[in-house]
Amino acid sequence: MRRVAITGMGCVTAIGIGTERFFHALREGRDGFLPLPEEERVGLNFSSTARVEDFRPEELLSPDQMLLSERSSQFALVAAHEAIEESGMPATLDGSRIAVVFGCSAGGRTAEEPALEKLYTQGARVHPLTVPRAMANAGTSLVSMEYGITGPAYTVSTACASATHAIGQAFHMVRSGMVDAAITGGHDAPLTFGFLRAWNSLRVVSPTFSRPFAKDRDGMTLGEGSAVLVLEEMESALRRGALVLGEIAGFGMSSDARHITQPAPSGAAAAMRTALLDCGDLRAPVRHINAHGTGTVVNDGTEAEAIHMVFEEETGRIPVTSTKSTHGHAMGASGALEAVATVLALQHGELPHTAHASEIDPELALDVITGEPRALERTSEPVLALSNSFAFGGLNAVLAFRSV
Amino acid sequence: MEMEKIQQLETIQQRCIELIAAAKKVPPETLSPASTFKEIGLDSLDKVTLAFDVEEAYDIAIPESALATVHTIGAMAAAIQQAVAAKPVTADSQTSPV
Repeated sequence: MRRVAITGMGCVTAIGIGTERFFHALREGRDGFLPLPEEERVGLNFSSTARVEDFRPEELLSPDQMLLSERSSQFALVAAHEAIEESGMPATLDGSRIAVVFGCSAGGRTAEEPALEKLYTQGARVHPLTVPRAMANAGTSLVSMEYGITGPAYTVSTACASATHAIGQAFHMVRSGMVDAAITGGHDAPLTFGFLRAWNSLRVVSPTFSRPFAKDRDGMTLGEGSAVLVLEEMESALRRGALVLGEIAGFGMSSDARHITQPAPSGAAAAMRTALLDCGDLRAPVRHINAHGTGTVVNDGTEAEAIHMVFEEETGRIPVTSTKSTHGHAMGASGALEAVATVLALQHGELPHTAHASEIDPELALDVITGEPRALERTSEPVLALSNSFAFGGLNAVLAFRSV
Repeated sequence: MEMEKIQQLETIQQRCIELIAAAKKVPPETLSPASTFKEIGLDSLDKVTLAFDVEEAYDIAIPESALATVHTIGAMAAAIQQAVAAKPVTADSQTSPV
């Protein structure tokens, strides 16, 4: 079976632009939660979001790209640039043998919402570029145009699991030989006036700050961003002298088929089991889980139950973390941010801790990393780390990464 | 055509040239009313964006049927002039940018 290497990564997150800053913040457990300006808090039960500050796309993107894009796809272009640069992927590679698969949940809301607000309140005309800017696949299209990628290119939308589904699909395409390489990940910029209020009404956003798995957890912190990974067939990556940052060993997905918002442990467990089965010969002991860990009472309880269903008495040996405690819940991009966090954790042998969670809920019976990062339990053999994403609508996706 | 109308058309042509030059990043002096959109490299998306910009600038509506036959800067300016003329006279239109 062909193996799939990760040869480049890039990110735009609330805790840093670029994987170096991102990893540094994860190690420190430094969050990117910023207070909303006073006038933007009206009608909200929360007062902070995980917003990307100091994002200056015009420094990297062309005027044409700026004209055709909005914040979400600009995140994708910037993260893709970093990932492709790091991979050192030769420009001579046949573009028809490369895929672009991104996850995006909210679409281009920063283009759409202000345009519709003016339409509804002032009867203003809607700019003709609103559609190309706001379409959820804008990031995929702009990246394929920038790099001359003419192979399979599409956007997956499965709410909070979008990016994990996207990476999983890209992984399967490279592994099967359908393509030689893939640019994959996710992007979302959903922190708009209307979207914040829609989430507010669901009463799942923390009035304080996200502290997943804590006894006193009270919800998620909404975020934004993008992360992109370059996947290549292992042998050809090694042949061209690429630095292999990590390896994807398996991918699993499932649907709860039960409730539109409430997750079911059986569905989450099925996705984890499928991901492990999908590893085939690359199966190794699981020594870390980057949890979906939103910080809501229901998600964290269900996820803990699912982990117990899969790992039974092994559960206590698996250090679990939720990096959403620092970068927030970046919606459709979350799975990509967490995939990068997981690869960095395996690469550096250091598992990030769950920030803010001082007292872990004993009922979960999980080994949640708190206080400081923890060294990865090294053996002479490779180990696996899972990255979980469980979306509204009961759509579950799990990636299994292998240490290299 | 009366002198006033000719002057009005020339002003509109100049405005179109400035808008297109800015959008396509070309020097305005390389464009003229006879320049075709094909020569300038103005594709269909550029054309609808230009139409939006001039509709905003002149507070007019250019009908689809009129826009469909526009392929030069001169024709675009004529379509704008026609739309301006068709606009009901209001207090606002006295200060329109024509």
